[in-house]
Amino acid sequence: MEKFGDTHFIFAIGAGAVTRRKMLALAGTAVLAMQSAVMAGGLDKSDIQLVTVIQTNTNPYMLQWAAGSQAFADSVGLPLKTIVSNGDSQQQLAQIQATIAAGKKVVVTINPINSADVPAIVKAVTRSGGFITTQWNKPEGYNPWDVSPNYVAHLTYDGYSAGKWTGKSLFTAMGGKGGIIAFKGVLDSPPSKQRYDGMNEALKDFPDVKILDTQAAGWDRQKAYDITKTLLTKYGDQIKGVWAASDSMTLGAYAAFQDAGRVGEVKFSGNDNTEEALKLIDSGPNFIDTYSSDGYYNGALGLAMAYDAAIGKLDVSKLTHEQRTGNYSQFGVDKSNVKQQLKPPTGDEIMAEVNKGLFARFVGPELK
Amino acid sequence: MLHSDNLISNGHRALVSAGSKPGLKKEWLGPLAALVVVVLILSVLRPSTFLTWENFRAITDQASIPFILAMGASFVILMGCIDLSIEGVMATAALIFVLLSANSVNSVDLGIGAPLIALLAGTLMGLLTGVIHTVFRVPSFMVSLGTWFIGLGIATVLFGDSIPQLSGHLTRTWASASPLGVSNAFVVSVVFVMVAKFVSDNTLMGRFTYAIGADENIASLNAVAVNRHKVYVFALAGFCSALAGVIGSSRLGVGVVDLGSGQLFQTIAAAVIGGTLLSGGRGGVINSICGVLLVVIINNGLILLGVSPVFQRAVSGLVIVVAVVATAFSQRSRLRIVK
Repeated sequence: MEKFGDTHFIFAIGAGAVTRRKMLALAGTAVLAMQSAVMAGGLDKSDIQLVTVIQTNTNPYMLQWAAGSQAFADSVGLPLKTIVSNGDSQQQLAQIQATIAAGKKVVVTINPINSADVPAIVKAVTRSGGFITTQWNKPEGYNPWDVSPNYVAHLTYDGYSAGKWTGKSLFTAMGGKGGIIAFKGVLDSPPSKQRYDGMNEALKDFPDVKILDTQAAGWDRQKAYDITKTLLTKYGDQIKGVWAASDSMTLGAYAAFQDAGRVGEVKFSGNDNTEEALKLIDSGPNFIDTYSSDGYYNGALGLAMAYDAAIGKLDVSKLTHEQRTGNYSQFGVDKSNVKQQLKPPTGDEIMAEVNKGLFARFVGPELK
Repeated sequence: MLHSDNLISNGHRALVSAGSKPGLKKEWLGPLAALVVVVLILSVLRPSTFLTWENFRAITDQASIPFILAMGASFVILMGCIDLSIEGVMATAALIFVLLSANSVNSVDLGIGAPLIALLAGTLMGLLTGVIHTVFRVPSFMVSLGTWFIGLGIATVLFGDSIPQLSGHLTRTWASASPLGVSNAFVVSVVFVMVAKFVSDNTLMGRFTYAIGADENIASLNAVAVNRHKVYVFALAGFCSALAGVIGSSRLGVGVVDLGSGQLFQTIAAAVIGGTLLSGGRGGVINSICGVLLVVIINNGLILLGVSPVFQRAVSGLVIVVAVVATAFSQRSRLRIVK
């Protein structure tokens, strides 16, 4: 444990021509690092408060996440505190701070509302001697190894493969020809961009499929519904397929096609593994596929990783940089495997997946 | 002459001018002109897609919820108040409507009772906003902010842990069915607009709304029951939001908490673009209708023109600014302070 502080000192001395101010700053960092290092690892189980932070509790993915975290908490026999940020960054931070103030060491996994929220939250948790994993969002260039061993890892999910897979199975279902309309989520959101790029990659193998129009519907069902109405007047019968970066938008478009009585002529592809999409995949020939981010697994894995670091079972110093900002694989869902997705997994099933190893689904470094 | 006499005679004038049509008539000409210009430009640029029956239906579909919301919001804004609770009330009404109709989560099915209870709930929430605003003298901005979050909170509790889907054929298809050529949702919104226009021009309620917005003290000195009237208007706004929630749920077939997301800003923006002043007293139903149509048609047109989604928001903002500056210029009396 002391080794960590020493390396900082050696680095400071070895840095050569450092000014006195820089020297002091580095020494200060070393002292801080030592303080947190003293608290790192080997926590007693009874000192730990498990915390999972989700953005809302009205989104199916977030609810799956919370259920996954609960499955992990049950498996280690500790109580879980679920914090719901409700789209409010300040509320998110305040609730985490309040939990820290209750006294126990917190072990946190969080799906932050914004990338920009991450540093303040990580700081609050690591300073108190808690352990944290972040998922999906963090500022670029803000890396766990620069911050603290208590910032165990950042987990992201590969949107590119997701888009490629959903695109390919949609185009195949369309018989390899016809026009599609595509929906991005929020334009600057990485998952939306990655999924869209992946879909375009799949398109290269289908020369007779053409993107008629791409719109951004902000992940919003109502907005996708309204935009689809306009696109229907613009392209009419040319539209043979709908691809969207999320189920919510595909379902909005689906409702608009339903109004027009045209669902039967068109194939639909979503993403996010929502119950509604699964039911439509199962019941009809037109909703082709969706893609699972596996919220259950994410909620459980993020907590498992932070917990193992907290009790000293996982040595963070031995993890590679890639592992600490890792990209984890997900899977596509179509008619072939929809039945098993329709039934929510039990806690034991979730944990069986997590117990295959913390890095069992690790595929490589974070995508840019 | 006593000071109060003076106030009262001024007040009479305010009431008279507020209620008289000639003074108001011209105010919506500007926004209407902007609308006509936008329609003409799009008709020239995209005659084969913009000027089709199908596109007309698309526009009417997209305008129906904003129309209803704008009616409620207009009366509130005309009084110089604001109602921020739109999205919260929509969410509560949506969840109540879906959960009390035949749905995928429970076995309740109250038939026509479901939308009625949802509308009642929305009206009560508006009533509550109005009562707290007037009795405890809390600015409407704050009270309705509270109602917004209370609404979202109630909806979240009702939501439970999975999205309730409408399973009845009638509830699922009613709003988008179009026995009259255009969707039922639009028919309802047009009826609503006509009633609102009638109320604002021909009834005491309409005149009082303008009078309160022009000067609340004067209205009150003229024996207008300001508080009671405000409560009515907030209840009406709550009813409108609830109706929008019910129609939105019927169209999408689900009850979701974020059904109204983005509607608050769009509604207030449409009212203001149409020339209804946030300070109250000026503007009206036709103004708001023009504002809504301007926003909806610009969004429709940008997609038809093939403007990249990256630029759409910026372009629609620009078009709105140009339209408002160019056409509402005559409204800007030189002596009036613009904030």
